[in-house]
Amino acid sequence: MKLSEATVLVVDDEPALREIFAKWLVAVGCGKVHTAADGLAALAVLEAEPIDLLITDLRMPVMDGVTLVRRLMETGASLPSIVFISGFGDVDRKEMYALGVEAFIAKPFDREELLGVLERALAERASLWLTPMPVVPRQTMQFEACCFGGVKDKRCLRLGRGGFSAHYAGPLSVGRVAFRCLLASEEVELAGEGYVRWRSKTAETAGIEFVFLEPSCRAWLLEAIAAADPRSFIPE
Amino acid sequence: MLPSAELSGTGLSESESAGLGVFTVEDPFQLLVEAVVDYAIFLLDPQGIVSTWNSGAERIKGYRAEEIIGEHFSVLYPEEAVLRGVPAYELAAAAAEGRHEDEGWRLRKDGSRLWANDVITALRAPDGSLIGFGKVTRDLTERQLAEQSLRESNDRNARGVVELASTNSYLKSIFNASSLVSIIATDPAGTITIFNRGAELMLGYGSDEVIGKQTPALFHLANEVEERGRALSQVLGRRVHGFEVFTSCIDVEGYENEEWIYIHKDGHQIIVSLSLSVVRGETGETVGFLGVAEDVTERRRAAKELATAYAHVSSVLESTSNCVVTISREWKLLYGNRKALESLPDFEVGKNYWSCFPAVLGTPTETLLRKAMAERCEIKYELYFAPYETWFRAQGFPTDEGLSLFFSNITEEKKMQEQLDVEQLLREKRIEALSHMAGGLAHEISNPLAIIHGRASDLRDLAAAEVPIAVVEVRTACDSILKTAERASSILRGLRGFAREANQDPMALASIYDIADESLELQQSRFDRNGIEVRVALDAGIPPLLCRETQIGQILTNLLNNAFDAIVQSEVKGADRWMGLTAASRDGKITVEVTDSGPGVADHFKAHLMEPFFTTKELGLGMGVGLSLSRAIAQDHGGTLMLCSDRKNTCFQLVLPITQDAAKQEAAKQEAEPAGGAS
Repeated sequence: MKLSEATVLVVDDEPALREIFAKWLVAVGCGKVHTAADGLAALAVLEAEPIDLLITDLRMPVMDGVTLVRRLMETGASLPSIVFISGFGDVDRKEMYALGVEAFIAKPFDREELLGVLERALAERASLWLTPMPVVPRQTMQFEACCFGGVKDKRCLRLGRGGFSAHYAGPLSVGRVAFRCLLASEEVELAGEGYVRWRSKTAETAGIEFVFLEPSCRAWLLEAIAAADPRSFIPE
Repeated sequence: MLPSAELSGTGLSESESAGLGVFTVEDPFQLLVEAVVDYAIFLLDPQGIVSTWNSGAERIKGYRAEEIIGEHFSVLYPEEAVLRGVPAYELAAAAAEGRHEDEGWRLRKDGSRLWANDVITALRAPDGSLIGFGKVTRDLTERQLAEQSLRESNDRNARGVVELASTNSYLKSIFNASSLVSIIATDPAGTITIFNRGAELMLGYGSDEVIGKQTPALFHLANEVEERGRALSQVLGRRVHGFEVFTSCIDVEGYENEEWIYIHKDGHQIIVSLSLSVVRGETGETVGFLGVAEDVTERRRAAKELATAYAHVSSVLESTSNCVVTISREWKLLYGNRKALESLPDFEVGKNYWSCFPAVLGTPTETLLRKAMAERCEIKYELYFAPYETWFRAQGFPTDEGLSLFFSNITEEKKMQEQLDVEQLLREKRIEALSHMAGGLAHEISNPLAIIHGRASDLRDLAAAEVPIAVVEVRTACDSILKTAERASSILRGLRGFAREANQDPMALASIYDIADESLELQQSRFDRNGIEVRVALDAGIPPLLCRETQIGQILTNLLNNAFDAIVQSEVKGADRWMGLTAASRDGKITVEVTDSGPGVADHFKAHLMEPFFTTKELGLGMGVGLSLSRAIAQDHGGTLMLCSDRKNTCFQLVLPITQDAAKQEAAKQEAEPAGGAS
């Protein structure tokens, strides 16, 4: 879906910001832009309107952004793509990615930056993950996973709409990564580039967002994601 | 007379058997014994006093019964045998084994020697108690003399020794069978007469090479012989040298055992344990010497290594700064190194561990120690030993004997650790507070920045579009930017005091009036804007306070902030919205109180109020660290910060000592330094 065709909901307690963001969206041709001052108001809008894309602030009175995302997950109805506005450590990104949040963006940001993130969030998977990163990632992650799916098993690779999480004991830090994972049960090797979005040192797990998939596995992976249709962007 | 208990086998009544010397003439055995003239048969009491004497004894020994009865039987032995303790040994051996047989020279009454075969039998009462000994002596002098004459007919004394050896089965077996023991015999002058297989193996010479040669020259270390000779010369008061070094000791004691160094034919040295004895002729004259040597080189080397290793271990143990204690399986203290004796005044080798250190009883350490002893496992523990006011870190290891404990005194370490822990806690609190604040701050600042950013980019877009710009639009955008920038600045002002680690500042005298004014100044406009009355009542004449001014200002700012938030959150409007700040001094303390017209703190929150991150404020209003940080600062200053629970309104009370001991000391120290020294 193109941004110009999408119905967008902007949630922020700062009236000036709601106004600015809405103006930017209208300027690129968004058909319908809704705004809400807090999470509770946003839920009301989401119930009443079919929303394609939700942009929400973190700290808001009445109901904050995290609660909004959690509540949204509980309702389970057709869910919009979610972009979270927060650049700070006080959000459990692992949880948010698992609840379906696709991207985080920190205030202040450029109009182009915001629009770029929003467009990517709406993009069809078919058009994604085709281009390698301009700079080859310095860290690599090579491992084997024996099964595949949503089970929380130590040796299992879990697949989300935009990435995967897996048990990985090696050194790894948040940032760009080239990954290579042999899925023995599926007789396929998952290879590509992405971002380490979170890293749990205690559980030795990591969440990786796809940026690029090697042609050898891309089609297979798209099919696997389509078949599983996970709600998580990156599962926990 | 013989006790029939032993010799007849017929029972005696208990009263009869209780003592010796109750015999009846009617006893046929007595008659038999009396009649025997080839054997000396007599009885000894348990101490060796002769109590009966038969005619054989009289004939063989030359004593009549009345002469010898009541005497100790050692009079029957030659002097050198008595000196060697032979009579006492024979009794002891008979008592232990029931029977002892021996052959040797004995003395007759006239002083002549006889060669006798003795059998001594212990006599015991039915209850097992020793009542005496029976001694049967056979005179073998005739046989001995015959043998000796045979020996003499053979050419030299060496033959005699060989014969002697052959008559003594024990010596014979050693002599013939032992290739491990060197047996060398010499004539009285030291010329080698016998050199057995063992000697050949040990020294590398064939017997034919050495027999007839003079010892010690051949295989002794000259230095060693000389040295011992010198030592002996001193003892004996005459010059002792050469072969006499070996024999002079024997002359005195009849027997000598010492370590010597032998030199092998190939030159290498062997440490031997050499037993020297005199070989005597029938009349007691010296006919030669016999040297039996055992190679103890390996044993000595091992012993030396062991000793070296022991000395090493011991010096390590003794010099270590740890206490080392070993305990037996029965909890007896076996060893304590120097440090242990120093550090544990109650330690006493041989005493029971628990009675030395009763304070350990009933503690988890007792359980642990008993576990280590019982299960043979290693343990580690830390122990505060109250009697010594000392902290110990200990490790215990099971040993063959029981348990080894290694202690180190960690009292200083503990003290430092405690201090570090406190500091670490404070530091962590500060870091946490800072990180939380950073999060809150980032959010507070990011909103205005996002607005400014958005407005400015809109303005740029307007300027880029080649259409007339509506002045109104530009002005609105600029107003918004300015207003937002002002908002961001005021947030930053509120952070004053957090901006640096003010706790590094030196203590200095500061006026509470200044601190209050400064804090109020920052907040006055906020209170005014929200229609909150600020009621300030500072007593006159409050003396200056020795403190870190910035930190005290931080506390006040915090309290004012809290008051402001509480008032704003409450529903109350108008004249009932107020904040009170009072300050007073009494008893060397300054009391500052901040009271607000807010709803008060709910009881269930009160206990948590000072905990870091606890907040009752709405999201975005506070980080919940202000009070905990403020209290830490107050305590740092030797003061307190608490919620006055007895007031109707929320009131925080800060109490600070006007002068502090630490601050006073610091000031005194600075004064004490020579003028110009601390520029």
